[in-house]
Amino acid sequence: MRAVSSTISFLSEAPLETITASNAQGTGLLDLVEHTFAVRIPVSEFVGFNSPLQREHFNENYMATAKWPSATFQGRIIEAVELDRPGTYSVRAKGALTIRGVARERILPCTIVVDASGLSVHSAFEVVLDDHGIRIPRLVQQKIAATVRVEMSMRFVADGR
Amino acid sequence: MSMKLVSTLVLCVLSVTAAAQFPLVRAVEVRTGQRRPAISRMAQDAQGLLWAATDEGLLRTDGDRVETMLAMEGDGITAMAPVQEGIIIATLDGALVHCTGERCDTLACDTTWRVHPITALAIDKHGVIWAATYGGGLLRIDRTERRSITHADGLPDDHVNDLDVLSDGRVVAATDQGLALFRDGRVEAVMSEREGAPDNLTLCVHASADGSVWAGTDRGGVFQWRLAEGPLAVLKFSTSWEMGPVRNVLAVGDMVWAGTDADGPIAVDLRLQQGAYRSRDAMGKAVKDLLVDHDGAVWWCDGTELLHRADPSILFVPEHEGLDLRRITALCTDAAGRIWFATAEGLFNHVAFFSEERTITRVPVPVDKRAGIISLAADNNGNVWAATFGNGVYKVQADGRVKHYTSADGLSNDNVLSVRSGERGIWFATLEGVSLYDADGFHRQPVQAGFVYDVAEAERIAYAATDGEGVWSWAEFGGGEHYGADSSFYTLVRDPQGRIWAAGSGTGFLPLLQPGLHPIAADRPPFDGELYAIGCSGGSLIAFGNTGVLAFDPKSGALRDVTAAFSLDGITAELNVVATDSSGALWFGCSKGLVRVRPTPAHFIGHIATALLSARLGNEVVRTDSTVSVDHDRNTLVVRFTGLHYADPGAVRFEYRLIGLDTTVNRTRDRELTFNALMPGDYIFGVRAYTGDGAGDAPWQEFRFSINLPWWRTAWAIAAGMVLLLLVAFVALRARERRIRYRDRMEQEKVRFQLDALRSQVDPHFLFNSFNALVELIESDPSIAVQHVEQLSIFFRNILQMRDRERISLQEEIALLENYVALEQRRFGNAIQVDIHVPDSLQHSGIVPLTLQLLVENALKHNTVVGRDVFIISVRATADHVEVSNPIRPRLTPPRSTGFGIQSITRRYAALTDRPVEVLREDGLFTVRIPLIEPEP
Repeated sequence: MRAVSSTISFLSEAPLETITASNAQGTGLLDLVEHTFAVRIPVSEFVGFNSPLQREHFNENYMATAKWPSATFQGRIIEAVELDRPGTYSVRAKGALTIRGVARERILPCTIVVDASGLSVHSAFEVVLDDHGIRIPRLVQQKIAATVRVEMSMRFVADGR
Repeated sequence: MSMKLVSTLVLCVLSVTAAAQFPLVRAVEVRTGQRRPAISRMAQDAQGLLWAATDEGLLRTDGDRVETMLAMEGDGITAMAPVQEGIIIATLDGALVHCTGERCDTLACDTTWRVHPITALAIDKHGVIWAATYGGGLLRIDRTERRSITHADGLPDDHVNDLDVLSDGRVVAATDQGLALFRDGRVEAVMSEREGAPDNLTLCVHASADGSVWAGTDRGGVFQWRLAEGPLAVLKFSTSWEMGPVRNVLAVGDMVWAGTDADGPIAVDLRLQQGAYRSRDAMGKAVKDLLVDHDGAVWWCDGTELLHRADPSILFVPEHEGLDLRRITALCTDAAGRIWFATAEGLFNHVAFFSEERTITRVPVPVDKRAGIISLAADNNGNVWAATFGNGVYKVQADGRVKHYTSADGLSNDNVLSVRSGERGIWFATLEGVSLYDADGFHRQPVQAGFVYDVAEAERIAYAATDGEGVWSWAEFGGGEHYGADSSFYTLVRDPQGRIWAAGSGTGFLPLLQPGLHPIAADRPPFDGELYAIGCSGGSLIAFGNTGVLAFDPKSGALRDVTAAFSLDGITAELNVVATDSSGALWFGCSKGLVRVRPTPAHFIGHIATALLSARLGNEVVRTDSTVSVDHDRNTLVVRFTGLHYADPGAVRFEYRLIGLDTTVNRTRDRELTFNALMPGDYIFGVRAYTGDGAGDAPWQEFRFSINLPWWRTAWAIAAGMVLLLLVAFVALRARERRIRYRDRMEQEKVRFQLDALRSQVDPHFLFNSFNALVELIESDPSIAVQHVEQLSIFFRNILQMRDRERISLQEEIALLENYVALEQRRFGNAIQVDIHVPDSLQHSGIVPLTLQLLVENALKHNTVVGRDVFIISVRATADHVEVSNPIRPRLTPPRSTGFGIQSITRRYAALTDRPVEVLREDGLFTVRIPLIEPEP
């Protein structure tokens, strides 16, 4: 199955500032038989920062999008659920979350809603910036949280294969 | 059915929020130089050393020193496991590497391991390596083959997170779809949610010593899989686990340890089943790896340079429910397993386990700040007695009622220092002697001392420890003894054999067996400072004081300083604040809080594991586990060793000896020794580690080697040399002997020759002929007769002169010959003719004397001289020989032979020259060719 629409947003709640941004450019693949998946998000496409300068800092200073243009998460769904039957499933996606070139093995809880035309995946999780080599200068530590909350929704439909 | 069983076996529900209690944790810093490596995995090898997988590579430590065994950038090591010698590691780039203290060797390499990295390694008892891969199933690797076990073989999932080997050789694997148990490579059983596991996603697994399997899950916490109990049973910790994924699990004795992502390690005491311990210092930290070491202590690493070691034998409770437990004034345990303690706040009790859900019970005893409770005792009837200093005693009955007794009730004094339960009743030590309380009330005891610190009873004999008057004892029906002269004794304690020991500051342990016995350890800590209490645990007496803690085994007499092992240095406490609970653990109230000491035998044995790390002979590494034999020039021994005492690595000392060099036992702090210029011989190097006084009877770690003699000093070389020497001597002797024999023969030959010559010359025929000729001459020509006589005289004189000489010149011989021929011509007239041709150049050549004369004489003797022709004898000298030849005209009657002749000449010449004497008969001529020899010098 192929992702037809996606929304990925993050929320950084620091004492002095709250930053949110979202991204609708994510792509993804899901294999219902093997229970494997791969999701790719172009990091430079995040929009909705508090200022254009902030977005520039995000891309250039913290995420180095020129060097690592995308964040990926690929792995598999642990639970042996049958995703071709309509219903709502709570599953765990286990795989390598790669942000800024640093891969971390994560087990992310996901909710999958299967309907007649396809399925929707929703997941919320936290990313510890330090885990991925994202260093926050001491000066702005009050403005950027060390742990960022990420929410992701993706809709998959059969791609004909 | 099995689900029903599961639900009935659910043991305890943990709702751990926060707890201050945790076994004593010590951190070992693993740093190489200035950098701080991030440790992600640990393993302990068979020798006891700790190996750490870090972002700088593989490090090894003995708690004191750190060595880099394999430098490696990044988190390259994904799994590690100890083997017989050293450890094996799996790396991210797909290699299995075996590392020992000396070297690392790649065992196997496979590019598929880069795609499906090895997540765990284990070695079974046959030495087979089992590897868990994430995506590639299980791998079984032995010397000959590499086999994989995947989903197709019944493995629930190819994504394996961990594995372990059971003591019976079975292998258990934790996969993304539950646990799987293997026997001989075949799946025997599976434990997933369907079978009752709390979660399919099992992250870690541990095979405990009792044969069961513990597993940690992603969101179901920890569960136990009891394999032995027929139907599969799951023993869950909790129905709802709130601590997040469990990355590591361990079961050690009665404790189960879980390593969490965000709450550090959590320890659960299964025996007490009442709660969990969590380390306040580890809150918010992830446990990367858990390990139980050979001493039973649990280690974890949290991604920093620190290795944390939790020692379950010691536990500190500094405060509980807001109550400060660092100022406890009295302590006791009761038959119900509760612990009673008094502080300035009042009297309390609590179960002998401190966790959040257990609360302290305040006992309603009125507390006067000026007359606090200083001693507690539980009697056999369920009452607890609290003694105050100034206000008598309180009895707390089992039903909760409290009774108060003072001197008005018969107590000897209201200032009670100690209360003890005995055989006959309750004993009180007061400022005015001792009182006994029994069914009939209080009885004043006939002890002569006034100020009594402690009282005890054994076999109906009572003992009182006094201030400045030693210890008094008195039996129930009279008679008594006095011990310890005029010392002050603070405490009396009964050992497991039932004997009473007394102790005070500076007194040591005094056995109260018979008066006059000497105290033990009087000059050691803690007796050199303030002594607070003596407790009894594990068969040993443990003395607590401000200068240290000393354990004494009354059976063996062994003394051990356990101050550092229990981290009890520099404490202060009240007198006698010590009690032993039903589990044998010792509770002690001091300035560090309420302390639970549960010593293991290892604490008292004091043996420290000693590891021989490496030995080099002549700069080449040799094995230390077998006898090594090296050449004589590798006579420098460098040996490295260490002692493993992680509770206090800095306190380790060593005793060593080198049997073969000398027999002395030396002591050192060094962990490397060098012995230079060792003589050839057999050696045994022994080392053992110790702390405190000495190694006692600890076993030696030994390394045997021998330095061979140089080849020229080996037995066979010496033997061969001697044989050679004998041979040479033999040959020389033989040669000498031959020379002597030859000379003797020569001498004999000469004598015989001279004799023969003389004899021939005085041959009667010769004389007769000469005289006949002389007679004729005298008559016919007297003048010629005179000449003849003169010639005869010259001839004999010449013979006499020359017979002693070995050789003479040809000239002299010719002269002699001519003289002789002249004599013979008198006889034969012109019938004979001797032609002599000797060139002048050969006149000085050498010749054996009389040779020519003899040959000519021979010729005349053997031939008929008279006849038609003149008998011509030719003497001819050429370059290297002289020839005497004559025509062969044999006589009709052969002459009588004297035995002397050519043979004799031949023999003499053979001794003087290699050239032969030739005798030729040809053309009617008889020729003898004599080689010319060097003239006489």
